[in-house]
Amino acid sequence: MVNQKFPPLSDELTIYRAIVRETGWVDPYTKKIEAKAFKLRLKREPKPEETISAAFSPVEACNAYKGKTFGVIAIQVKDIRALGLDAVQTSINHIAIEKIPLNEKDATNFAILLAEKARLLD
Amino acid sequence: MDTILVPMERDYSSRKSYKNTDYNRNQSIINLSVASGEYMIKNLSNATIQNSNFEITKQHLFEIDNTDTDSEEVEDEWGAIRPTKYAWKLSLELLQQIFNQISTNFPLGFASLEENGGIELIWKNYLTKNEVRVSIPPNQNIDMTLYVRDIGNGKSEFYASSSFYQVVKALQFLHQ
Repeated sequence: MVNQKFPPLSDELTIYRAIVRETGWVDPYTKKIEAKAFKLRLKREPKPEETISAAFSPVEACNAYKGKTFGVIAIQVKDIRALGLDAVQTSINHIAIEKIPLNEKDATNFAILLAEKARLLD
Repeated sequence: MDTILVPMERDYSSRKSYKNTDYNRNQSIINLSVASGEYMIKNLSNATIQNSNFEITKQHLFEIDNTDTDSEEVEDEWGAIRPTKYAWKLSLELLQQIFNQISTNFPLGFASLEENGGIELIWKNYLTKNEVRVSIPPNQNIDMTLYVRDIGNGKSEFYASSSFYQVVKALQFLHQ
């Protein structure tokens, strides 16, 4: 198992995810987080994405994208777990949102629900 | 457990999957639109634009194109950085067809780039929280898909191969 060496994350922990596209990740009319920000990339090749990546800090969330980010999203672990999903630490600087079903319908459903719980960092 | 891709760990082993895709390289949607003579949008910021849902939705579609940059790059760690020619042309055609069909009730929408160079067209009813999402494929070998969320009956539906007719029906339902 990948995650055995890390303890469970606290319900109260806030985790962060970078916005990596200038448009489409925030609803242009409400300015709220759009489902795209939490949608599994099931069309990715050669294999679909299985978890949503997050980080412990806004800076870490942006590091992987060489500064080409357009904001940071914050979401609490307890809100993720309330949906029946989980957030687990997989490395020293990485968190994976797990248990999202790997099909378009459910992945979209959960992406919408996660986006509703998330907020754009000021 | 399968391997989890971790961007922070610079795992690029499964990237570079869209090399054969016909990206809209070095020519923006706006330029192509003007060249086609069909969509004159050079002065989008001017007051000449009709303040209609159709025009606003179309404007948001144009905004997802990043080809005004000088970069030769077509992908980054997340995926495609611009839509394929096929995807944006089909998106424009679809919006126009929808407008032709339901012009007076054209719902306000926006667009989002997909990781494979496709485009997602999104419409929401902010009162009911119902949603319609149309995934425009990056090439002709992939079908257009349709996602419909209906909070009223607590269900969502996903159509792996959708028709224009289904999209129009879904949009008509959105604001009922």
